[in-house]
Amino acid sequence: MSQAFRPTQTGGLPLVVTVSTRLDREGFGVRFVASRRRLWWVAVSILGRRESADDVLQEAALIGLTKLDEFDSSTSFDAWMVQIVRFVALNVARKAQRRSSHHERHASDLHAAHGQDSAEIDIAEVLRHDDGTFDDRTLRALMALPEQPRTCLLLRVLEDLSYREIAGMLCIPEGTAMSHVYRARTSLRRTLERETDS
Amino acid sequence: MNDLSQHDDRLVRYLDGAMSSGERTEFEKELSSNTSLRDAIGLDARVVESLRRALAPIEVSPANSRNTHVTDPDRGQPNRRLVRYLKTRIAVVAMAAAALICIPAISRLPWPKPNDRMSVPSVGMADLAALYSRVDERTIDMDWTFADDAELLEFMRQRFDRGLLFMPESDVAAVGWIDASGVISNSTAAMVVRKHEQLVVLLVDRARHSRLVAEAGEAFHELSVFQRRVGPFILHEITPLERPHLLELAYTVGSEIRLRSGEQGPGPRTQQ
Repeated sequence: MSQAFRPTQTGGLPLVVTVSTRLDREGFGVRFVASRRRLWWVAVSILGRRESADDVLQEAALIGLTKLDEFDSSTSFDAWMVQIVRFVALNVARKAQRRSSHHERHASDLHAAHGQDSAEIDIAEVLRHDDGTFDDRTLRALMALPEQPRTCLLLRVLEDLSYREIAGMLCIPEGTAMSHVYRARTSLRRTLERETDS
Repeated sequence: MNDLSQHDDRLVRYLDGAMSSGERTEFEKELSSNTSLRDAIGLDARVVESLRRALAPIEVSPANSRNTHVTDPDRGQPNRRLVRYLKTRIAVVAMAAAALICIPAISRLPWPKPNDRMSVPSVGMADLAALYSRVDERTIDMDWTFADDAELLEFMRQRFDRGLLFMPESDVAAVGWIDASGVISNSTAAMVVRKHEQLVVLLVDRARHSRLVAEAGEAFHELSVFQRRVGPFILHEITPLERPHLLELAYTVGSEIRLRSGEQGPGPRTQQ
């Protein structure tokens, strides 16, 4: 079949949603749906859990829609949406952290008011932070990594993206994506091995 | 703890599938005698599975999967595997729905909300037919053409990280390739060929992007869509002809195969 291929003189006209100079709302929907899974990993790599990821993507999609005019269709849709998803996810994570600190302060006030001894609090603390399940330890080790290596690792290992795709999404060199995955994978393994040994 | 730091590079490259076949064979031989290495591989697999369990999106079947018009390439009949797949998915969704109804008490646990946002959208026949019309009406120019199999293979590897080629057939003339990003996924590419004076479009994407083709409308009754999985690829052939012609010509090419300019592909016998 290859003998029938001949170089064309014309450039590529964009197809369906990719080719128009400006992305319309329908085109945005199609592109967003196509990118949704990979954006999901960006969201969960920041949140460290999946229960809010759906809301983050929904909000990111709404923001994307309102900012459609700012999107240059000659650039990567994924990279553009990653920025929005990151922004929303970081906000959600910060809010959750604030709520968690508030609850901790509140709990500590309650303990002080009821005169409970510190030993009881220590046990609660140990139970909270020393959950023995492998999944919890893995998640903790993952979240101890810097954000970008975390994201690279999830996109590579769980979404099976190539380093080129990861690099394009996160606007980083391909070599950096590769090195992030290498270090994240090694670091995770070593952390879990250390914990098992101790 | 065993010191595996000297093996870190090889471990990661092995897990990443980045080793050459020779290197991989040698490494696997070493694995059989090195318990620490084996443990490390096992631990990595546990980590991946654990992360998947904890973080992967939970997907439910498409809402509009009743009128599926995907057909088996060999029989031209509704794909039985697809029907079985749908039945399984429906059963799984029904069980999930029952569980969600029965255990509201634990709804504070991280269950996904059973709403539309969780659904995996299907590729609609309308989208595929629209694409075909644009090709047929020549409102789309070809983005790429390839002088030989070597060029096509290089393109495939760049776009999909895997090799795919097609056996030559005398009455099939390739017209070119279109960037079909967004039709199935951001990587979709479409090959356009001419067969019996008719244009046929073949969508190529990674198998993990496979989505059902659903809801064929009356306006599209003259077009058929056939699908076939070829190794890591999923192919959809959109054709006005009675049976698919391109699906059976496709074969995967292993990463060890290098083609020189002008050289023809090795054919399906050497496929991975």
